[in-house]
Amino acid sequence: MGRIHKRYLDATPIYVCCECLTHVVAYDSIMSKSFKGKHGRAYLFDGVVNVTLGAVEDRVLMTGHHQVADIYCTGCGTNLGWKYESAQDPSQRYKEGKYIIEKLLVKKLIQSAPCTWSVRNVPSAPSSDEWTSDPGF
Amino acid sequence: MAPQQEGSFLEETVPIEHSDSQKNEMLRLIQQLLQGMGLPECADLLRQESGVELESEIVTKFRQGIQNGNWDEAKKLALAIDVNNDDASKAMQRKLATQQYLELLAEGSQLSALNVLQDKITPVSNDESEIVRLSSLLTCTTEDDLKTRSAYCGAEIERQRLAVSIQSDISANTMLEQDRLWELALQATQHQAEQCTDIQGISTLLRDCSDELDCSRASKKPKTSTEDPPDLSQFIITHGEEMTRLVLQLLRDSGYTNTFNMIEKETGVHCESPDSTKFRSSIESGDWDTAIELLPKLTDEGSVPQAAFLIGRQRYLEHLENGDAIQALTVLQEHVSPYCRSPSELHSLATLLTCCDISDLSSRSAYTSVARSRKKLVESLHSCIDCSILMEHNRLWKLVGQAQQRQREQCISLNRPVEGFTLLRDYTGEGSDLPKYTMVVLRQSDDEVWCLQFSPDGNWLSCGCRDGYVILHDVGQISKDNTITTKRLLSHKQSVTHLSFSSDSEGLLSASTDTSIKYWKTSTGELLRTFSGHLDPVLSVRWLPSGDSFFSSSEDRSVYKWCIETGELQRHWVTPVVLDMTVTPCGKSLITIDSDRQIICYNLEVSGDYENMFHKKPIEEYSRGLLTLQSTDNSEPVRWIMQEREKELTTCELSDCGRYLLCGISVKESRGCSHLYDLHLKKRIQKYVGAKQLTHVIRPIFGGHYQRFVLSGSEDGRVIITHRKTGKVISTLTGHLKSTNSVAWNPVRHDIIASCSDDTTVRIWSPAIVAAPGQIEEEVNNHNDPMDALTSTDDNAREPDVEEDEEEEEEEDRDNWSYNTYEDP
Repeated sequence: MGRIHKRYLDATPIYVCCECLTHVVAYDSIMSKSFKGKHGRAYLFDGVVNVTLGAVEDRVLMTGHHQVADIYCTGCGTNLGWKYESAQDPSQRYKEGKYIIEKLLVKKLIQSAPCTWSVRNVPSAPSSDEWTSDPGF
Repeated sequence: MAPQQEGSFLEETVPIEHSDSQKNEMLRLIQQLLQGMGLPECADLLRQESGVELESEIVTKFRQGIQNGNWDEAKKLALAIDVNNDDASKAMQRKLATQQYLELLAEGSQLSALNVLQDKITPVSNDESEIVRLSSLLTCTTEDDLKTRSAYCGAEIERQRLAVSIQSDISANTMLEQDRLWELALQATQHQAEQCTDIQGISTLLRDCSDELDCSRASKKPKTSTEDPPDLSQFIITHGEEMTRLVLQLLRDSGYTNTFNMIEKETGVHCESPDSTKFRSSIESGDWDTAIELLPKLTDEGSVPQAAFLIGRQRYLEHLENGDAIQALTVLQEHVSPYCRSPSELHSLATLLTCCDISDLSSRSAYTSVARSRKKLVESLHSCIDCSILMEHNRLWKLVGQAQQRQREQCISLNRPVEGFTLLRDYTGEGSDLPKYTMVVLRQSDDEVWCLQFSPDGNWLSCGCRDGYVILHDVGQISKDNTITTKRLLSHKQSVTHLSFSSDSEGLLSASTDTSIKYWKTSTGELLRTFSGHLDPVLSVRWLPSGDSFFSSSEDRSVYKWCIETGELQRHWVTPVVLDMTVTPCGKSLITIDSDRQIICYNLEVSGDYENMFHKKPIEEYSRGLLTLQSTDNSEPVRWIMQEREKELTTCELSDCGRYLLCGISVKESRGCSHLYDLHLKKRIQKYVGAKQLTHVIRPIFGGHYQRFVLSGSEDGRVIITHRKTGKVISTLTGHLKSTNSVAWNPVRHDIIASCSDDTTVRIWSPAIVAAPGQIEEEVNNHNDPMDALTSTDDNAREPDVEEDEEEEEEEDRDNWSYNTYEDP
């Protein structure tokens, strides 16, 4: 498999994969806690890292018909949950592009305070939007 | 490793030897040039004076024969000429006969043409279709008809073309290429133009073109690389006079005064104005007053003081050398101080009065001997006096040197020093020494091999595997008895992430996911020390060039500095997770890549905390998705930070000169590439595409002669060699079955590379197919771990908290990561 490049999250607390402790998602990006997955409770998140997507399939869930793609941890390949690709019911549209992570498959990790020492926190460093155009070569 | 100059990627500068053979070649080229300019008597005179023949008589007659159409004579002479090989001789015959045939057809004498076809062309031609085509032309009735059917353009032009095409059959030494000296001058100007960014063409041969002086304002568009090949004839017309002057300078310096005078008389072009000659000679003889008198005539008002200052300074130093302090003082007062711009300069010159003898003087002021320093004075005066008035010394040789440099750079796959350069033909660098074939496949590992390193002396190859083994191969023995001795070092409990050799190749450090770092002795393979202290997997480890300490970084968001001898921790600080790091060759800076997409350069000379990154407000600069923050003075703890906007940096490698940083990139969407950053300009200067780098950490490295190449593995198992300067992919090596994680280039033997892969093998590649070395395995007894650095237990590895209930909970904060105290999990 080779050494997989992992991204590391700078927030606290964060959720990590239960098997390989790869960082997955920050607690702050929880959108909702009241979901149910295959193994019990599950949370809805806005953005995750270190996951790969599986194939998109049709699934009928408690809330209706959806197209979802399973997500797998890049470190060990465990199926952590799924991503909503599209929903049939208009009232479920808010879920599109968001991720479900099963609570049982992750652990919570408290890290030391985020580093004060990142370019973002240097006084008067601009936010990324203000950078010059043409990001590529 | 070959020593490299600090501050630039040295392209190997090919020295002009001025050897006798090169001097002779130059004289021949000059004769050819003179003939081309319409001065055959001058060429003759030069030939007599120097004794160097332009071409042998046979060749001259041959050339005349072609021009006049004496085909029989030409054919006879052709047999006598030295050719490249037998095929060339036949080819020449065929070309001569074909030309004769076509000319006869053009005249309309078809019968004789038919005779020629039968007698002369058919015997020496191998190509049936060619004969058929030629015989079909027999039906042409007029010359125009011939023109349309065979692109024949008339006798004159065709004969010239014939002369040119025959050159490829004859060795360059025998028959010179047309206008060879002009060709060299043109290459030299192309080389100069490439060094500048905005130039379309150069203005003069007498001075190297530079951005400030030659920027073509008319066209502000960036230089395109798809320019038409430059027009040689136009070039000749534009620079004719300058070339004459350069030739005159060379002749004068070589001592061929008769030719020199004759050329000056014939063409009316003077090498230098009489004032310049007088000026130069007065400086060389030490006649300072005359020199200063002449200055206003040679240059404009503004530069006179500067030049006068330099002359006065030289005068002063010479008096000092003679020990004549009183005279020196007088000179200082009268001739130097009026022109001196800065008082500090004057003071430093005055302090030189206290020198007791010449060695003291030379150590303090860079003054060597009279003759040499006077020459240097002339060179330094070029900054004040225009180059066309006072010509650079040996300018023509310098141009030839630049042409040579350019030819050298055109051979991008050359991997060894340049040898055998000749002025008469472009250097092609026969054969490439890049590795192509697998020399041996090493299968000692049972699991994926993740990292690979050659020792700096090229004798050891170490690889680290996913199951924790570090394997040492002794490859220095290959040249002796063609064997590789391997030692498997029982080591880490989990995968090895990084390896680093010390600069004397005596020690090896391995970093691992089991949070420890182990220090091995390379020659025996014994474990000298284990360093524990990190709480999370160690991601990278790097020696300092001094060899007495090293840095390590880990997922626990810290960077540690350890002392090798005592095993204690010297320094540590908190950062975003550092994925990879490297130390500059001088040992003054540490460059890290972290998961926040930053490249941070720490100032190692400043001790104290790095928590406050910049004490003063740094200078900010943006360029194309790269934000740079630069500290304003050298005593700051951090020198600069570069932040990538989007690309995830995974690994980094620094070039030997310490200026260029090669970073692997992991980009999920596209094919992946590596970036080359210039750390002095703080810019991304090159992109290397070709390797597949989506999810794995693939480490690209520099390698080869003068680090000309960039070597990279790829997720599909290929090993890719790219040219460092242009980014072109030179070759791809296949053989591995799965992703090649890491590659290494032998720093001493530039034709050997190694690659390791997920298919558990390590391959060594070489340029030619050689017999595989025998492999010997040795056992290393390493069951005890001596002396850990700090008391450590297996509980060292931090365990994250188990998931709690829904109600928001209080958890123990387990992030006292201060290294001295461990909390029980």
